[in-house]
Amino acid sequence: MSDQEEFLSIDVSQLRVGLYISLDLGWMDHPFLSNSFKISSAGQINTIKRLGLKQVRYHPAKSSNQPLPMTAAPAAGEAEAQPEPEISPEEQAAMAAKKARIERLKRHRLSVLKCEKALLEAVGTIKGINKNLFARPKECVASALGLVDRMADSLLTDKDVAIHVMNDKLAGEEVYLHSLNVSILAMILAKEMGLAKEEVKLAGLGAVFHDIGKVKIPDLILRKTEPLTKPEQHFLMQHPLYGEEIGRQLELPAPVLDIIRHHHEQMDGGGYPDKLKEDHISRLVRIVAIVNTFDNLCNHVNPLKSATPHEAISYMFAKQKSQLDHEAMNVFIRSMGVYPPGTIVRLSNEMWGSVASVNLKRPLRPTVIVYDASVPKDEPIILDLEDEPDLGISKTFRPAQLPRDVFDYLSPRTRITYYFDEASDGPYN
Amino acid sequence: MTMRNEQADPIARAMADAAMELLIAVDTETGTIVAANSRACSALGYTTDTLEGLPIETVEDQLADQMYWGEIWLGNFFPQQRVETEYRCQGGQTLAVEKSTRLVDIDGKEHIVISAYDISDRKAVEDTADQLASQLRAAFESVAEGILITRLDGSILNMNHRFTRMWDMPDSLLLERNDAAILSYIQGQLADPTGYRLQLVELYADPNLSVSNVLELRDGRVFEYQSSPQLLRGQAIGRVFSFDDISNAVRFEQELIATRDQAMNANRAKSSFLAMMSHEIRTPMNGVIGMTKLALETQLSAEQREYIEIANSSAETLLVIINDILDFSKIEAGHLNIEHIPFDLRELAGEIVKTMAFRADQKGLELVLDIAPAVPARLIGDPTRLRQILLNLLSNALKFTDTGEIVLKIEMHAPPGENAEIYFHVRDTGIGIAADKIDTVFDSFSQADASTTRKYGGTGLGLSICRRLVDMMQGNIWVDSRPGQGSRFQFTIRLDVAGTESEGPPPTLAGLSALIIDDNVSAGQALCGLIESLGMQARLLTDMREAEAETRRAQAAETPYRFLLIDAATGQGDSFSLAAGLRESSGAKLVMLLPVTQLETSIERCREQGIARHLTKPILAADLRAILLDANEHKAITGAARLEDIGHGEPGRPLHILLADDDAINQKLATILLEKAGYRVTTATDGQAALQAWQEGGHDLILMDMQMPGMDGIQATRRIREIERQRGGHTPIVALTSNTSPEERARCLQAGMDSHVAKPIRQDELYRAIQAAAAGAR
Repeated sequence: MSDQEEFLSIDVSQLRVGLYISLDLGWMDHPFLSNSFKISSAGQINTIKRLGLKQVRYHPAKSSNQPLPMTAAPAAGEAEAQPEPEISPEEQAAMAAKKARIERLKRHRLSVLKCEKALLEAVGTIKGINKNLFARPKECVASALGLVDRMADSLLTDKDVAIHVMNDKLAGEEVYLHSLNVSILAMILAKEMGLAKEEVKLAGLGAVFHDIGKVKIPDLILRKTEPLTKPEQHFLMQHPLYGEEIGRQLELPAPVLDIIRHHHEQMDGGGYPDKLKEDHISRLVRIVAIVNTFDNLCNHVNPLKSATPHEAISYMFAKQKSQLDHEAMNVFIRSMGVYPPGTIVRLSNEMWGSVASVNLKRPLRPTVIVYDASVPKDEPIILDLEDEPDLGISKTFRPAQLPRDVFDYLSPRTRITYYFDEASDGPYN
Repeated sequence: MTMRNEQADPIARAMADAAMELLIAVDTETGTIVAANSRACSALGYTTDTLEGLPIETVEDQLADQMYWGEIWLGNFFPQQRVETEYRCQGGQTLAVEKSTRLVDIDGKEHIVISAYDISDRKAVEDTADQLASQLRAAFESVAEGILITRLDGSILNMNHRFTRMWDMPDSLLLERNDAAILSYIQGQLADPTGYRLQLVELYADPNLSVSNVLELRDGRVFEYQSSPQLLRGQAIGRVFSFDDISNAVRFEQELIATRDQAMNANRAKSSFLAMMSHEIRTPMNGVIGMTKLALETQLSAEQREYIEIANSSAETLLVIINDILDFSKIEAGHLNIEHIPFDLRELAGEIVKTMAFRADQKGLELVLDIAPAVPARLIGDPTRLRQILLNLLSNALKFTDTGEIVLKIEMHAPPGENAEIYFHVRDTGIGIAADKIDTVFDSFSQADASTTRKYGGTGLGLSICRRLVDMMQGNIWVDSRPGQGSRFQFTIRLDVAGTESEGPPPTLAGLSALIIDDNVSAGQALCGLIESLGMQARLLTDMREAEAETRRAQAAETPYRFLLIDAATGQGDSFSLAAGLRESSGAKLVMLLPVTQLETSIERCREQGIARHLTKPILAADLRAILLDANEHKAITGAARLEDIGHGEPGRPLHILLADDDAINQKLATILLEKAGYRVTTATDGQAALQAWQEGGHDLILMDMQMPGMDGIQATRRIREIERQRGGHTPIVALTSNTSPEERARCLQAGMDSHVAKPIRQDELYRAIQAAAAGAR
């Protein structure tokens, strides 16, 4: 599984620009972005020499140049007489940048941990609601309200939101729940659209209950992976009406009932059940409609048919313009990025990576967890593309397209669950 | 390439137009396309005029590109390298491209130049490759086997999840990506790691080798693996191992074997038990039969006689059943061996039909024996077992037939050589067997149905034993039957031919003719066959009334009959006087054929009519030959002489017999039998006592039971023979044994015994053995 035999060992004195090399050092022990890279400047060669390495591994196939011929072994005296190459200002900057990166890595990890904890709690709440809704309806509505309250409190700060993609399982528990995911994204979108706290909470509550009518639809139809027949479709399309009825019994507030009944309405009037158009669809409904569409694309009943987050958002942008609210869609793209977290990408330097979080100001430059076989999986390199002007995203991939080792390293999710944390405002820019 | 700037260099333009990529220049201020090469125009479906002047976002309308241009308009230029995206063509369709962007100064103004390659072909190839890879991956992951792919040097290239689960590999180990660690982790679980390593060395020494093998794990699981080369263009570039967990299959197999062994042992134990039990039952049965027989010879009232006769015949029936069970269990337990000794089949068959004749005649059935002349005289095989089969089939026929006839026919199937296939059939005119029962009649414990058992009795083992015996004689047994019309049981066995020499037709009879009068066609035809085999001519009449005319016709034709063979039971009238009359008118020699029942009356009738020669039915070849030869030579014989019972031969001088038997009843029975025959008897209850009594002297013969407590019959015999070797002399010793197997007989003879008698003791057998042994000693 290692690529070792494809490397040749060469002496550091043979280094020149254009060689693709690997350093046999820990990632923390050198200032470079990665343990393997193509030498792009004489400065990098000096840095390598100062690291005390005698030999590096060189990959002929990935190099655009030949190593220098071996010079005759210099006499001991000469070697000592050779002046130590000076530390260049760029190198100092690189070293500082690397330190910052390590810092950010730590913060990122902490932030993810925080999200995981909050998510697990939310998952527990939602599962409780799903289980007990008809046995103890009052309690369930109350606990949904409590959940939405807590999320709103941590979301609605002055700080930006950091959206993280979560693992499929946390503490052995499946965490993907459609209603929770829609609720989280709806609240994020509502916040980003500048809605008041009460409205953000209503959006969240509406999202929690938006598919409640599906309890009346047989599982056979809900879980069917083949296309539905016409009668089955018709049956399924009753769920907003069933949902509204249940919502009424639960005495949910009117805006929530509105969301439940209309989350499948489309701006061009092509939705159901009331074929509402444009202004007849409320803002909260539009928000839930967008995130619901997104989540359904990313988390198809049949995981094989799921789109990557990037595919989902691009598809909504290109194909569903007329159905979705334009303004809300723009804000959603800005929040989620062009490459939403969880998207598997290849960078212009051929590195594989998984998008970790969105840069709200630079949607094309998210933060990316990169694959480097020489770096332990649980402490991966995290690159902020904002800091790497030479690097861009060239291509996105579906998990199935990944080589096995990359797949194992990046562990792409089969279900995309998001959670948020406040963005740290440290030395980011 | 055209530029709005009219001074564009024509050479540069020509070069741009000749390029393979799409080249588009965009004004950074207006965001419009200011120039495009002809490749770009044609690929996107525009003319130069329509493309130039369009906003770049018309072509680059994908989300990521829109965002990119959004950043450009904000003044954040950054170059792009080989970014994959899609372009919108004029017709609305999309074109897959890989684009790069650069900032270029044209005439002092900043422009962004896009160079893009049409990658639809590559995309198609990639799609196909993706499809293929996903299929392979799905297959790789969904197979039930664990799969490991290595390079030629043994380093690991890939493995599926099933493989890692089979070997319980921890994630940490997998993430280490250390091949040596993985390999040693696997080897650590093997019962024989060294053996496996050797297999691997062998495998990697020859890249083209394909092997499959079984691995035992320390936790008891068993894996089967196959290793085949991974070939690329015919060249081995790696190895694929597929592992299959066959622990369950192996366990099931072992359990199955154990269960089978258990069942077989149980069955053997059951058979041994049965054999032993039957043997144990036979000993007291012996007492019952012997004692009732003796009782019948005493003075009894009619009522007492009847009771004891019933007791005796019940005991005989029970003995038959026990013998069946014993045989069956012996066969089941594999203890029954087939003998290979010379015997005379005609004699054997004759003896069998003679024993059945009385019963047949009592039921008014005609019993016919018909042996083809081609059947060899002397054969090698197991006469005892053959007799058993025939007796069984015949007594079945007798049992199930109320009117008509039973015919035993023996023929030669294969031409005679060293090994002959003899074909027997027993035909009856009885109740027959229903079609749905016919397949099971040879199965153990099965009679045609339970009602049959109730009506006719029997263990239902007889036919099953027959089939097994026939199997052991390399033959087949089968049955044809029609309910109400009778059955025909048939079997073939292979027997070695001991000698084909037969007496041949006697010259004195050659060419003579005989007239047979018998209203039973089968019997008559069988007799014709016998006569013809003597080189004579035979004619059969079934009606006595035609006989006189026939004899006259023969006389007129100057071919008078030499012999008249007339069935006494033929016709309604007095066959004896009619026969005598016919003899007078024809001048032929008369032989009366008598039924076996009421023989004395028949013989009396013969005497009255002056008929000197008669045969009892069924007719045997040897008897017929003798009587015809005799009649031809005018020698008078008395039929009565033939009736004499050889069993009552008087011993010359009363022999003194030493009887050694530990069983009191057996001892008593034997003593009574011996004394009845005029022998003097001394008894001993074990080998030691027998030895002592013999040493005291005066015994002419010893009857020695084989199984006795302390010194058994074999040991006692050995001691006696030992002493005789020093002293001289020879006292005949006859073994009494309930085990009549050839091995047991051999054991007797080896120990120095002269002969043996089977238990339960039968009177005539005992006398014959004593006479033979005594004669040998004299």
